[in-house]
Amino acid sequence: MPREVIMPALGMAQTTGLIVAWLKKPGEAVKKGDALMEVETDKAVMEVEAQADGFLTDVRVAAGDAAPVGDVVALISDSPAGSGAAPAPRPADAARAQSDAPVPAAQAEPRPTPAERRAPKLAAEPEADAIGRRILASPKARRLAAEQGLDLSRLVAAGAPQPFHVSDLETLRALPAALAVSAPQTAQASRHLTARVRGDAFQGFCEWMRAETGASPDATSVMAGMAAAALRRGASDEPLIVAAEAFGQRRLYADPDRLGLGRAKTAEPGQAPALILRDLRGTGVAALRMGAEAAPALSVTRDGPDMLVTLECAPGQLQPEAAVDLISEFAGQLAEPLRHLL
Amino acid sequence: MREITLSKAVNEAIAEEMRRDPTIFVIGEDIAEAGTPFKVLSGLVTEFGTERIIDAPISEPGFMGIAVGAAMTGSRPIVDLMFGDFLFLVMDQLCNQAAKTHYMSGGKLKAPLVLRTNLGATRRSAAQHSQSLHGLLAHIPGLKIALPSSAYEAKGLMKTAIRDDNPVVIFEDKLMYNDKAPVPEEEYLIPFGVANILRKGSDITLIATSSMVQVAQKAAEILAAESGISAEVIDPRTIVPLDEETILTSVRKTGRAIVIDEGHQSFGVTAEIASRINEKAFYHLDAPVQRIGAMDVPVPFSPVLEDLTVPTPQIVVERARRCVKGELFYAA
Repeated sequence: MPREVIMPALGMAQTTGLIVAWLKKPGEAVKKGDALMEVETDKAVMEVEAQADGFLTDVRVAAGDAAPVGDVVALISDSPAGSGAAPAPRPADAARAQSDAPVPAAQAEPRPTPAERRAPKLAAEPEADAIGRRILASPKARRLAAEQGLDLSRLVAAGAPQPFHVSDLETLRALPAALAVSAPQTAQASRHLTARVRGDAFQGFCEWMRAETGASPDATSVMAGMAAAALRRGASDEPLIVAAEAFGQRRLYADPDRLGLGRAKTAEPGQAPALILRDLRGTGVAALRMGAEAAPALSVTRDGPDMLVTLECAPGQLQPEAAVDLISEFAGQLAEPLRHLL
Repeated sequence: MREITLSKAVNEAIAEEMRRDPTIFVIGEDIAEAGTPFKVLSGLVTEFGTERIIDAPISEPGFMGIAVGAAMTGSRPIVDLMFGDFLFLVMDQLCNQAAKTHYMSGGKLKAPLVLRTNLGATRRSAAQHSQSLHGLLAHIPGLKIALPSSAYEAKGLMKTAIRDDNPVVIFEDKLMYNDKAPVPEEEYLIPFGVANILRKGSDITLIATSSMVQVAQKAAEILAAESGISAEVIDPRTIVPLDEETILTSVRKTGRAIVIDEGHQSFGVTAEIASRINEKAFYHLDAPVQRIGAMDVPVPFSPVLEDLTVPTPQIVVERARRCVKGELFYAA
């Protein structure tokens, strides 16, 4: 009847022991009390004695390897040949025994390098992509959107700047049902003009207004006033509707150039605008070519410290000189907002 | 109502309790005739004598140990530690002995003592006399930590501390000793673990301790006047025990929070409170919880530099504005 040789607990908090050396060879006779192996703990190297007479067999843990405390590391058998079979491992040991069992080199799976082990297998979906696709929103905004069945990705599609907060849910609720198809896909824009102006003048003007009036003007409506004035320039007193789009929201302003900057009133819905103004400064859009709309369209984008103004229209909407006049005047007002007051 | 200084409020609290309970005594350096360098205990020796107002030699570990032993054997000592910075001298007596006595004796022994000391920078006292070390002690189970933010708070919290059967450390801000506040003549106690809402608000919650409560209140005034931002100001009063529910209820309402404390920012009070908000009110947050602590540097002696290391109303206002505007601070 073979006796098990157990890795002993030599220290209070010891969980494994390292076999420094076997002092008997496999098959060698041992007597109870003989030094059998040297075990190293975190504190010292100690000799472990045989607990029975017999022959050392079935050495499972080689010198230089560590074994958990309580594990069977060898047997003391009645014959030098040993038990012939390893004693049945305890269930908990089975998995470890399997994975620790020596495997012929040819069959062994290549061991992953440390780098491979660190990197999870997500090659198809690199981390940066996953982060790029994630919508940045506050936990509260996300929770309220989920509770109210609102889709934050529509805000993304509308170009609203992230991260989204609870206040952005108002914008989301106000989004037209299908923003993408609402723009009529009419004639190609054959007039496409771009002007570049410094961004700080308009910014400074808005801040000055804020300081002067105490109110916080909606920059897009200020811009709508300038656009309307640029289009009207010397022309009639007829009502002029500007459709201003910002953060996916579309507002109609009636005569925004006549009511004082920042005080533009929204018009009755459903009226056809004479001019479309897209305020895209809050988005990543730098330049664009959208095609002609039902009315001439002025788009304002940010390009570093500058603002880019793009005018697109169908040939029938504005004559070449009128198109140049419109964009020049509008860009001029953005560059020198005080011109608007004159 | 009469107004008295924070010094006077502490003095009154101790005197009233000493009249009530003869087992109370005070021990510390320069506390009898000198009445402490901040004159907080002036006059007590006249009434109670040198047997109960005991001047100790410069020997913090010694008199702290005396107090722990006295507390375990039936007295209720108040230890006066001249500067909070000297806490490092009494750590074993306080943290290994006093804090664990009740627990390790299975409730058979108690250590009902009060350690009163101070915190706070900008007194031009340099790095070894300007620290705010309350967060360090709040880490040790078995100690209660009270942080009075006014004369009224100081008196009510001191009386509760003296009556507590376990060790309590009270940190007074050394710059507030001459600050006056209305304090009633009649007796009152302020219970531990009950936060004080000093100002109601709807846009952002400012949680502030000790003298930072004044900073938060000033910031709230500026925010309301200049930005139309409505800030709620909460003083936890004690950080151990901490009135978590009042803080969480407020943050669930406002969706935004800034925690302000004069301890060093890293691994301190602001971190703990912000973390609890994140854990327990995450789905109510509309902005990342902000922390404003003292800079992670030894407090400079140079007045110009020293003033830069502590939270100010301007810093709180700026942070609150960005928070309410929804500016993203830390992503990407």
